[in-house]
Order: sequence, then structure tokens, then C-alpha cells
Amino acid sequence: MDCNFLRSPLAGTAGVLATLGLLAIPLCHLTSHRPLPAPSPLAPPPTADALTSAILRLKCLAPARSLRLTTEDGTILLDLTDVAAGESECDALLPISHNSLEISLQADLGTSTADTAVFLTIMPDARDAQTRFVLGSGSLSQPLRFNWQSP
Amino acid sequence: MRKSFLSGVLAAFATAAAAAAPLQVSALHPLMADLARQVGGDRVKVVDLVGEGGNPHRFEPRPGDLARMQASALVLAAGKGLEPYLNRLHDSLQGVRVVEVGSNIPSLTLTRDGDGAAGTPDPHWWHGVENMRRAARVVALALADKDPAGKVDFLANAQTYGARLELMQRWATSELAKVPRSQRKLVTAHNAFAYFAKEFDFTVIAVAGLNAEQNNTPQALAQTIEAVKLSGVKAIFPEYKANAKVLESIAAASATTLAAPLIADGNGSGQDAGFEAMFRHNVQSITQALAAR
Repeated sequence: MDCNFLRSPLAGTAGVLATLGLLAIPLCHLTSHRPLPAPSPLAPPPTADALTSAILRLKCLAPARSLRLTTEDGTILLDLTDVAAGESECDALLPISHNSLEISLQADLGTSTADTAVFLTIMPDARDAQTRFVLGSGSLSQPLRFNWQSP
Repeated sequence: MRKSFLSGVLAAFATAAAAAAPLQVSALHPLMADLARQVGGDRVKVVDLVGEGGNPHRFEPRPGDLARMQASALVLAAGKGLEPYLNRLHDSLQGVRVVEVGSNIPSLTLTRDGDGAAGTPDPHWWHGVENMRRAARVVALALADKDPAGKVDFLANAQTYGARLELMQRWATSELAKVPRSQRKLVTAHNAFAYFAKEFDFTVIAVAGLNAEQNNTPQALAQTIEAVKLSGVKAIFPEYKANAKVLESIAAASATTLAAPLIADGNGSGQDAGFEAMFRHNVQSITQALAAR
């Protein structure tokens, strides 16, 4: 490789200038007031709010062979067998989205043909309690919709 | 050998004694003390710092109270801003959990001007029966956190208490149904009954502010007299253990009668102590004064 051109005064000066130029870039970065990069656009608002703590109160007027509560995304909140008539409470984390929630209630109320009812009360933190019920006999499956005002 | 046997027996006795020792719980509100007793049963020893008949609006912990809280596993406060000293208390009581029982209960917002409190949460959440049921579970879980072996008992006690409150709520609904729609207005000395009014479909006309001791200007009193006249209500309610002088003058000026006092802050004594007694007392007082005859 012929490197004679490096020995010429012009090439030497160019080399020095190029080195100074390269050095100047970081110095410029350190000393100049460059505008901050524009913030990236905000993330779109989530479609579902964070999970909300809640108390679930279940009231069965008659015994049930099985009872299951699921959210819209298929999460099982409660899965009980041989449920006695009466009331019970448990805690749950609920995906309340845009102040509303749908819970599917499935119950096997046995062979009796007499109508009975299952009541579900939901008490999310800082929100009013709301009660829905399912009425019927045999196997029941019903979506229960809950809506709240913004807390 | 004998020595190790003896120390084993002593250790077993000590463990049994510790297991049997009730959990000490301090309460900054008479109704939080009541909740702790209802839910905790024999497994807790409740220190009611305000004391039966005491006014939680006026209470400020003294050094002796701080020492009793330090010796407790848990301190129960009503929350929602009722205890303005709570931040200082958190600093002083390092290691002792302070539970604001009402913090997750949905708030009603104060709208009345002149209290300096408009826009803030109304702290009197205990006037809602449903709120007290929720609070019982909050207390049960807080107690279980400190005494896991008692969790089943605490939750069962909360459930039993809740069932009793549900019956009481039904009784109240049927009693208050005797009050005609035109009379479902509570003119009270103390702006404390918004949660009750919401649950049982009343409207509130409060003479004083959040605290019964707050003064009223002559203009505010004139407005209240006018509001009472316009409402057509036949009775107005003084507050238990408070001077009824202002209410007497409003009653005279508006041609209404002075009803039996309402208990606003759980500060009833004797047979009126505790939530259930307070609630029954208030429902009876309202029904007697406003029911159709």
C-alpha cells in the first residue's frame, strides 16, 4: 500500500483537522444546549384498569351442587361444590374496565324444579356495593353486568 | 436431663400462655372499638382510647394514649380524614400497624360551604349499615394478619355480625317506610348523616358543620330557618350530648318541634353505646318524629 500521500503537508494538516473535528463532536454534545428529544407519545390508555380489590358476597337461597364465577377473560373467581344455602364472603381482584365488569355465574342447583335464587354482591374498594341475582332451577348460566360511576 | 425436661415444660407453658394472650387492639373511635370487639371476640383485648361517650372529633392522643398504642398489635382509626393527627401518629408508632378502617369504603363528598371542608370526603361513613358490614371484614383481615390462628374465627364473627346488621337494616327500612316522602328530610345539628340519608333515601339539611361545635353566622342561621320552612318538615334533630340552644331557636322560628337527639359520632353511653344501639336509637328517633300519624 502506498502511504506517501500521508507525508505531504496538505494531508498532514487534513489529518490534524479531521482528528480535531472528531474530538469536537463530543465536546459540542457536552457544551451546547441542544433541545431535549421530544418525548415519545404517551402510551395509549389501557383498555382495562388495574385489578381492583373487592369483597364478593354470595347468597344462595337453596343448596347448590356447584357454583362457579368467572370473569370475561375466563379467570375463575370462585369454584365451589356442594354449596350450602346461606351467605359467604371472599376477597377477589377484579378487572373492572371503564367502570364496568361482567361476571358469568354458572350454578348447578340440583334436580329440584322449584325456582330459587343466587345473589352476588360486589364491593370493590372505594366503590358502591352492587347486587345482581340469578333466578331459576337446574343448571343456570348467566352473565351479570355491573356498572359504576367513576370513583 | 431433669433440667432440660423442666425447661421444656416451662417453654411449653410460656408458649401456651402466649397463644392464649389476647391481641391488644387500640381504637381511635368508639365505633372502631365496637367493631374490634364484635369481630375479635375473646381473642382481642380492646383499648378504647376515646372512651364510651367520648367525641372522636375532639380527641387528640396524649402521651399515655401513645404508650397504650405502642403496646398494641394494631391501632384502628376511622380514616377519611377524621383523625387529622394520623400522619404524626404513624411517625410515632413505628412498628405498630395503623389501619384506617374506612379508607376503602366509598366516600361521599362534602358539599357544604363554610366548613372549609367542601370537596373533601365526609368522614361519617359509619352511618351506613352496608359500610359497617364492609368494615367488619376489613377489621377481621387486619386482626388475622396479626393473629393468623384466629383468622377463621375473625371471619366467622364478621359474617355473624354482618348477618345481624342485615336484619337490622331490614328493620330500619320497614320502620323508616312509615315516614312519608314529604318528610324524609333530616334537619340536624351536625352534618353527619349523609351516608344514612343515602342508604335510606333522606335528604339532609345540616345546621352546623362537620363538627357540632362549629359556629354559625346569623346569615347561615337565617338561611337554615328559611330552608326548614320551605321543606315543610315537622321536626328537627338536635345532637346527643350537645347544646340544643341553636336548634331550639330554629324550631321556634320555623314552627317545627325538637325531636329526640340523634347520635352522630358513636358517642352514645350505656344502652346507646356501640353501632347497633346508636343506629336503632337514631331510627327510632327519626320515625317517632317524622312518621305519619
